[in-house]
Amino acid sequence: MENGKETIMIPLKGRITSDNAASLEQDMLSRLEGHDRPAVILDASALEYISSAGLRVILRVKKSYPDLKITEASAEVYDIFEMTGFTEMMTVEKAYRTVSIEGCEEIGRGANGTIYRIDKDNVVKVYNNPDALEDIKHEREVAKLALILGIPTAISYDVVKVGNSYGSVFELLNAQSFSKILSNEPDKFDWCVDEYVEMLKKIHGTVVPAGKLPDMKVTADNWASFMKDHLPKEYGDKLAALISAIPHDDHMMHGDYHTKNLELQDDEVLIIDMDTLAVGHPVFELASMYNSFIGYSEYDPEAIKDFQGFDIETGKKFWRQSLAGYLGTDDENRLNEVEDKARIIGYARMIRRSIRRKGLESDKGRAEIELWKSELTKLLDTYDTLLF
Amino acid sequence: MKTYAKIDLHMHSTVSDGTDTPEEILKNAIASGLDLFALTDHDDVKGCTAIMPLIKPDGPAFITGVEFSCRDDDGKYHILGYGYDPGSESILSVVRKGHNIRMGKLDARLDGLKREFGFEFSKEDCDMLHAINNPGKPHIGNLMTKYGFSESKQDAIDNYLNKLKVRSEHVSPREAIEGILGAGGIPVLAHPAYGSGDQLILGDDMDMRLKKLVEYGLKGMEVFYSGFTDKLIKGMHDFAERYGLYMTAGSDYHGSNKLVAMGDTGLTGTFDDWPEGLKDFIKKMA
Repeated sequence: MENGKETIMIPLKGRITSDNAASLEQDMLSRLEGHDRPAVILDASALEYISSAGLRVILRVKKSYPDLKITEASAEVYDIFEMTGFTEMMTVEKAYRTVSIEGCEEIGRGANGTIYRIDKDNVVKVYNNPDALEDIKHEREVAKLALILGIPTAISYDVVKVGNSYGSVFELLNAQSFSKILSNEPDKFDWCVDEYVEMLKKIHGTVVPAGKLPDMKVTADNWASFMKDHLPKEYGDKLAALISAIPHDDHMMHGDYHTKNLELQDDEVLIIDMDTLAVGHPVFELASMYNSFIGYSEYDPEAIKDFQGFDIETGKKFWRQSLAGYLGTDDENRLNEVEDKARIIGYARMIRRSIRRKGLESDKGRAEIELWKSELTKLLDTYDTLLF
Repeated sequence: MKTYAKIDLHMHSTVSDGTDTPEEILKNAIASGLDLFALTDHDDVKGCTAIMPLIKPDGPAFITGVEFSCRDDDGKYHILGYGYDPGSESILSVVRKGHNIRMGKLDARLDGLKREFGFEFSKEDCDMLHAINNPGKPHIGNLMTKYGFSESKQDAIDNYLNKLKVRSEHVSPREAIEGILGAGGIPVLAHPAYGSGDQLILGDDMDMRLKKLVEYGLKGMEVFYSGFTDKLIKGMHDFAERYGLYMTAGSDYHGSNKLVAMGDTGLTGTFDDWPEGLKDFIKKMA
């Protein structure tokens, strides 16, 4: 029973053509006879092919039983339903291919999922959230938008089941992440920085039509209000005021811009893991970059190795050189100022994240949060604006 | 001009594979509230000859129809013909050719069953098969089951009849189109997106088909069809407009053989809403 209504499930099997469509129709109608307008689910998991004779049977049954849907359609069968307009007139649910990530190399990790290489040409991003179909749709939409606006990225072409989670599959031919290049080929350090900065400037130089991406400022205002409960009042108020004074900015930002999310595919540099794409002032991006390269490893300098594969010294150097390239200056005072402003937002974000992940329940977590808090309050004493 | 409220230009009687006699077709047309209809039996015009004298001025208007099964090197087609003179030698020669081909195919199947599997039927049963206007695999399959050669009609088709290689001639789409035109009729491509009924022909494939058939003299497309979704109707409508073809609407009613209701053509709205290509066709025919 679905919503109190009787549901009848009918399996569709093998190949349905003019040879067996008529007997299928008789079979379906005899199963439905005597029921009072039930909901009908056609389970297509074992359906290999359906010809137009079969489509007509479904159309006729749908006319008598309007509450009819098709589930578990294979990609090939789904294509037929889509081409013929069946997907527009009834619910047709796709079956998701199952992919195993056992023994697969992890090539990227972001806020919402982990990316594995499943074969030479394909990678799968496995989402942390087990009910990720909406997230996957969102990421696909924003990645398409970015591509249309001129940002080189990979668009997922399939959704798969990975254990109990969902994954989206991308084609990424012979690609390797910048983290891997930095770990294995230290002589390419300067080249990596240059490409990293160039992509960052391209992203931040892209104006996004209104309403197409979330506004980072709204998210950051939420962080500030969360932090009010965890900072002395004058610091909580000041943090909120500083963030609130950052003007709206309609330029694109990535939101998780570190070297594991930058891929070199042949000669082309691609940015991946687009689900955090937003619009906002560059200080928000710099805050997240600082965290990736230094912030998360400030208490435990070994942490970065697990995450990026290279050591904290490489992370620090990469951050500083990228910042200099991005700002177009070697002036240490200027670099320190912008870094400090990014750190203010960066600490607020890390503290909130850690507390929400039960950081206050362990000694290590508490010590880390204390360290970040003391840095944050020092910085809040020093600066009266986050703009640069 | 006269307008119509409910039409159906594609249906079958017992002259081919429907279950209603031509007389019952007329009765059902009246009961279904049709005010214009055509009988389109497979490869034969006899049903129309039977209905024509029964048509009354205060009943539904009638158009002669036929559905030819055709084949050429590019595939299979069903070509409808409307408004032809059923006494014309031009169309009767196509009907005869089709009939001879079907009888040849029946003989080839019966020979094949005997040669490959040792299945033989009595002369009486063979004569019975020859008396059917369009004896196909299901008819032979039923007989095989009766003799105990197969477990069911489907078993007979899947495991015996489909394994026989039966070569046969075909009526070509060009012959059908020319035969209809020669009898003063209008040739129309039936359920275009579904090919001869069991295929899916869209986009460039459809375009190639139409280009060729229009060269042969095709004048219309069955744009509205009971088995089409709105998307397919829209697609066929756009093709018909692009090629400047008449549009028709049909259910493919077969009586109790298929569960399509007479008059269920996918055509909606009132006469004024119908596309010009359909109104022009009706204007010319009715």
